[in-house]
Amino acid sequence: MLFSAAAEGTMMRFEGPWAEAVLGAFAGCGDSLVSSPTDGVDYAASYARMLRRATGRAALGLRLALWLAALSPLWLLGKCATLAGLPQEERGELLARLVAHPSFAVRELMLLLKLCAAMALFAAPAVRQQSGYDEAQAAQSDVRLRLPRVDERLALRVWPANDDRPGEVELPPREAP
Amino acid sequence: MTRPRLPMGRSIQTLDDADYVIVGTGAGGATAARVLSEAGHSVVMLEEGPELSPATRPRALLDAMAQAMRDIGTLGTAAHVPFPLVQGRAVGGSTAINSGIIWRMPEPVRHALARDYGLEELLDAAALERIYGRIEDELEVDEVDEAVMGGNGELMRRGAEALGLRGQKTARNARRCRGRARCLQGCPEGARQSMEVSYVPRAQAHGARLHAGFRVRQVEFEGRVARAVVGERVDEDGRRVGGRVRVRARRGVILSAGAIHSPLILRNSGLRARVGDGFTAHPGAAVVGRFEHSVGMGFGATQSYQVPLFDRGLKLESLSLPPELLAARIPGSGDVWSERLRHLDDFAQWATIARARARGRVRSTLGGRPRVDYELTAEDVAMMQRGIALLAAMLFAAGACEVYPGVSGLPEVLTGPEQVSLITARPLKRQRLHLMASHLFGGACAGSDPARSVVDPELRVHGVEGLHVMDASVFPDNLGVNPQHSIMAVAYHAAERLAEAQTN
Repeated sequence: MLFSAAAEGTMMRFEGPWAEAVLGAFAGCGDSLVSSPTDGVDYAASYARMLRRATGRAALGLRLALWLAALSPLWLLGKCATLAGLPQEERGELLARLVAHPSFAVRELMLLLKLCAAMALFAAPAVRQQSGYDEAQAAQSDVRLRLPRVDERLALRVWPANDDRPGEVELPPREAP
Repeated sequence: MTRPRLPMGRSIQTLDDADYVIVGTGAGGATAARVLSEAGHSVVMLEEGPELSPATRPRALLDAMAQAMRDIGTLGTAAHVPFPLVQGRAVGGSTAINSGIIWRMPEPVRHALARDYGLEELLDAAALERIYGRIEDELEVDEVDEAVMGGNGELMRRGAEALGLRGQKTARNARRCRGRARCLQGCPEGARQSMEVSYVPRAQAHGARLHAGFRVRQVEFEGRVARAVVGERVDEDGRRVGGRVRVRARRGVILSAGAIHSPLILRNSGLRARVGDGFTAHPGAAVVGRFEHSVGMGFGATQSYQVPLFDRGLKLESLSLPPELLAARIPGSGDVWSERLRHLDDFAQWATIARARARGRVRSTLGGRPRVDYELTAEDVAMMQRGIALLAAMLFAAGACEVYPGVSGLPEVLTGPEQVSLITARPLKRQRLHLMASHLFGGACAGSDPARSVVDPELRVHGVEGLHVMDASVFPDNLGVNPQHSIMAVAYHAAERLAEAQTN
């Protein structure tokens, strides 16, 4: 499975395992959404498909994103390792730092990788089922909605103070617990 | 207007010929094909993307996007702070991937465009009224039925009502919608009357021929008269298959390839003056809220409720997305993200689009790919900021226990309405927002003054004969509402007048 994407001819040999490690780290390891390897999530294939179909500029960005994430222990922590060389829990923490990175480019590139990870995850029926997303469709939406629950009055200034058009939005009081 | 180049070559195989060759099968092209074919003209429709059957379109997002979305949604602006521009690339164009939202052009917008650009006849109110009515009948336009409002839309209605904002159910071209929430992947029942299930087959029933998987590169001229288009066959991945091919037009070529590719084809054909200028869009941002109960985003019309705030340049909409896209918008990574994804049914997602003031331009790279230079203004960013704050306030008012504003530098998770003011506390820099746009306009702007426009009020390209543009690129400004209906109405009107002129 690791090299299935590399076989499509768009990735270098080592990028397949990198994609597995990086995209897999988004979903975590412990009591995670991906309960077992048999769930059929193929991160590398998802990444390779995106790479192949993206514009040249976006494909370059995707590749850069993977390299940045895979080598982030080196440039973010000063450790001589790739992401795959870190314990699972540290991978997630490192990705969290990258997703919130001060650089817009790094944040957007990580979001692209996260989207790849989500696409790989939800292509697997077991993951879709665990997420509960399709339950409403199955139940033809007998959705139980509650009344608004807001705990205090709040004047929210959405428009500039010097704007003479009424725009201030007040939230209703929250119900007592 | 620059003199057109590319005289007719002789070594290119001719694939087909017709009175009118229409490039693109989205809202503009399919509507033009429907009108001209029913008026008795022979029509050939050319579409770069594949012809897809609604029943067999894949549900998994990666497959669906690879099949029907241009560059899998990765074409971005070439600005300092880029964002993606989403377009359909299949028979039906962007109507094959949108939510089928139908909005007539707002009267103040129509009035301003008619007055400022000399488009009184094209945008004649009585003519548009007649055409809107006809299209709405033919495409089964109706407000979303209560039965398919879905939890996401229903919660937005509650949030809007709690804040005293005037919202409304969305009007869509999907009267028979069964709430599958799969507009992006293609309605499995064909309830959404997108072009590939409505006007394209209707035109075919009147003799129009469709060639899918055909990418047009340029228009060919004899003197100043457009006589053919030249392009190539492409596979589903957009890769060229075989040599160059020509399709001849006896009466005219109509470009309906959208606000990026119609200008690109014009420029490739040697028409440069003002072509590609005046590009604009509706940038959009989404906000996600978590509830302590099931929301049921997986059921219901994809976009069932909306809050138009036209005087503010904003429109707020419920936006039910496939789980892949929703998941990518949920913060966290590792086990934190995974825990949230295990409760994906508890999330609502709403979006704000803004009538941006920024203007950009479309050009081509050395490799012939589009390059869209477009940078939002500070005022545009401030508009988006207010829209995001309003969505966050509405989500809390609807009962959300957590809100994810998606604004860098703010807490990833807002836990109470008192934190909403953080969003508007100070001016935001553009790079702190995560945006995208699917409503694109301009690039071949219409107007009566050739010094300010590319096409005339009949949508004929200034300075040449037999070449028309009928799509969103002719709008000299963005509209503030979903553009499909306005594109169809303008294309309908222009095609009708073209057919009448030929008859006379």
